[in-house]
Amino acid sequence: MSAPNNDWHDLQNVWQSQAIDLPKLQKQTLWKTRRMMLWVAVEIAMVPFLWWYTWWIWPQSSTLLKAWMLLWCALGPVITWWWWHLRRGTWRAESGNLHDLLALKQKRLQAAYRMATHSFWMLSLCGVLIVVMAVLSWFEGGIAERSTEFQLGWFVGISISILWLIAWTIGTHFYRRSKLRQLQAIKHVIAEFNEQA
Amino acid sequence: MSQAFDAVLSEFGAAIARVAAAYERNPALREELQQEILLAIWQALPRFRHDASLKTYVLKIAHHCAVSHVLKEKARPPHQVLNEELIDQQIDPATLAQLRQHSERLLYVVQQLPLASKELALLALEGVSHQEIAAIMGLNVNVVAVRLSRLRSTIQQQLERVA
Repeated sequence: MSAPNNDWHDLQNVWQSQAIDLPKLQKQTLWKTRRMMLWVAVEIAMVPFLWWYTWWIWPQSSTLLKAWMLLWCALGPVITWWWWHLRRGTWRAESGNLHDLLALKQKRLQAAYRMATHSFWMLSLCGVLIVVMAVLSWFEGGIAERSTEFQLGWFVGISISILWLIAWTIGTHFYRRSKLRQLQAIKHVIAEFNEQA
Repeated sequence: MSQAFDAVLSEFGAAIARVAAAYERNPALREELQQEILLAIWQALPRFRHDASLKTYVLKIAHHCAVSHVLKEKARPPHQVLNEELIDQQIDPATLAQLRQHSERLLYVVQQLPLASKELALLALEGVSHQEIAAIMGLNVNVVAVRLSRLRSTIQQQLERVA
């Protein structure tokens, strides 16, 4: 304890008389850090798995499925890198004071909200495009004349893609809403902080 | 887990738990917050440049993490949850009972403080010097001294009120 804080001495003693179960805390932290490392390993392993899977199903795939798989083969490493980058950069703000941190958080939330809004409309547009492409390929691409087995495979592929897009669009909508709520909360906290400071 | 992180956990684990308790009353959420803080420290340790003390660095991350947690938590419990697991069970029962009363009252008062004052109070209660507080909060040392003096009076008044 430093000399200038002597008038806080009694309060410090009372405050620091609280203790914690350190072994429990250490055990929990070890588990959490290991789980986090495991997740990173799984995410990284997903990329070669996706490439291998694409290579494996390539000969039996339709052109649409090939294009779809190629898109994910390209996006996979980018998404993995982005998640890793986000995790790594989470605590870059430790160099600033509390006011800087709040301002930075507000900026990040605004960016996240904008990104979520763009993603929401992009995903909705992708959904519409897939439906249009499916209808076109059914009538113009000669799928209507192919065997029932082929049509069933084609239909399952399209359905999975659409369902997957719908799930992402709904998820993005809720994410966007939560970011908006957090943005409102942080504006309130900043206003409160400025009043007190 | 690295040796440096183990050392931080042993040395500042209690302070981190107290910071978490000051920001989060719900025991389950508090435990979650402690983990968030420790993970943040684990990630930030390689970037520690020794331009401040390790304690200051750790407490700063703990506060930033706690503030982020507060922002995330929309529904906060309206009642005080007693802080059972924070009390050291090795102290004799009479002293323990007294400390429980004092520390719980102090914890309650600190939990009620507004955000800007809470950080200041917690740093002072953890024994951080005026100079270091000034550096953390981006304030002048004299301003810190004045604010701490005012804050101490407020805390004393509140402690008497809840006694």
